[in-house]
Amino acid sequence: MKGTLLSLASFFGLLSLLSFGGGNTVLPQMHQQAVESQHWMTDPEFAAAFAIAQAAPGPGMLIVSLIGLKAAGWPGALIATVAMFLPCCILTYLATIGWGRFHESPWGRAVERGLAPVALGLIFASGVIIAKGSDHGWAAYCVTAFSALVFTKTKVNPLILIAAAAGAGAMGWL
Amino acid sequence: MSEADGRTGDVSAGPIPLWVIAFSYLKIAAESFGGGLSAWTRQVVVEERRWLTDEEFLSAMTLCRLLPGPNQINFAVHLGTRLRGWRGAAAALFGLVAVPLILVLTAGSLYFNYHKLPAMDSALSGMAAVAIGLTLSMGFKIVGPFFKRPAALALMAGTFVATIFFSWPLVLVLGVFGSLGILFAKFGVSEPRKKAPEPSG
Repeated sequence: MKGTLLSLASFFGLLSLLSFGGGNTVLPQMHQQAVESQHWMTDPEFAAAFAIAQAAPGPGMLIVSLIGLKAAGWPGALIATVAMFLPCCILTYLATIGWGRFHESPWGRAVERGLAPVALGLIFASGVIIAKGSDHGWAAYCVTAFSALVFTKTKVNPLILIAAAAGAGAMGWL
Repeated sequence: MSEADGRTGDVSAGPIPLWVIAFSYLKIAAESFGGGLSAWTRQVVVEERRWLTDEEFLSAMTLCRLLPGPNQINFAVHLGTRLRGWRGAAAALFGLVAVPLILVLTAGSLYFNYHKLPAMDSALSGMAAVAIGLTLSMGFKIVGPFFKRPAALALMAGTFVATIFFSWPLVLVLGVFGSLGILFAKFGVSEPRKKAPEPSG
């Protein structure tokens, strides 16, 4: 038990500082560790943990809490969560302090202005990548396109469409 | 509206109470049921609270992408720090994570103890389809003003194509298109300098 907690802490603590490009980039490494090398959980359990963390409110990276939970119960969940979130938060805090001074300078303005279109391109790309990765059928693509249109043009509460799509999915229509 | 746009994230106007930061992030977290966390973050931070302009939001998000760690966690810490220093960061993080953590762990322990229903998987994928649409709609809402800036539009398209069709890693994308964008913004000053894009687009 103590050994498991220790390896949860060291694995996720390291991963926290290595996950350049966001949490999803380290999912393959997480899968490798949790399923293949440490046998903390089975393959279907990993997939379900991913789906739960994605669908639940809040950051999808809470999948690490579920891996910790399965590996070592409640203490495991706590250790994995803190190990994944604390190191990168401290780094971001320090970077923000530096950014605050830099961002008012002419170069800071240029960085702010110049990176905006790149970020926008990445937003569109991530939508497409997630759709491609989650074996979207044609019906699901229609739902995605329809909801993108609705959310862009109207102020309808997304929860309504999400609930409807969950219902349609449960009925096997998607 | 145009008055407030002129603020461009001037957060020194008065200290924002910590509970407002925590509560705003709790709201973001609660609304992101089914996904689309960054879309909800923009909705609350840019449109409702006006803590950042669209441009500041995008560049802050890019900064948080450059740093290691989950983007939205980093963004919460970044925004919280900008608003109220480390206390603000802690408040944002607490608001974002506390309630979802309890929910995820409850759902997870139920799932691990009682086996899964096939209908649950299908329901989850239906929710995912809408969540992806929500993410895309965030891009569509912001993109309007960029049509008046051909260079920015080209950078955006290049980023998209390189990521989707050529599977460039993020480091390369930012190295090429990010530096081009920064250099262009610094030296290609022919573009009219605008304040924040109008939310109505």
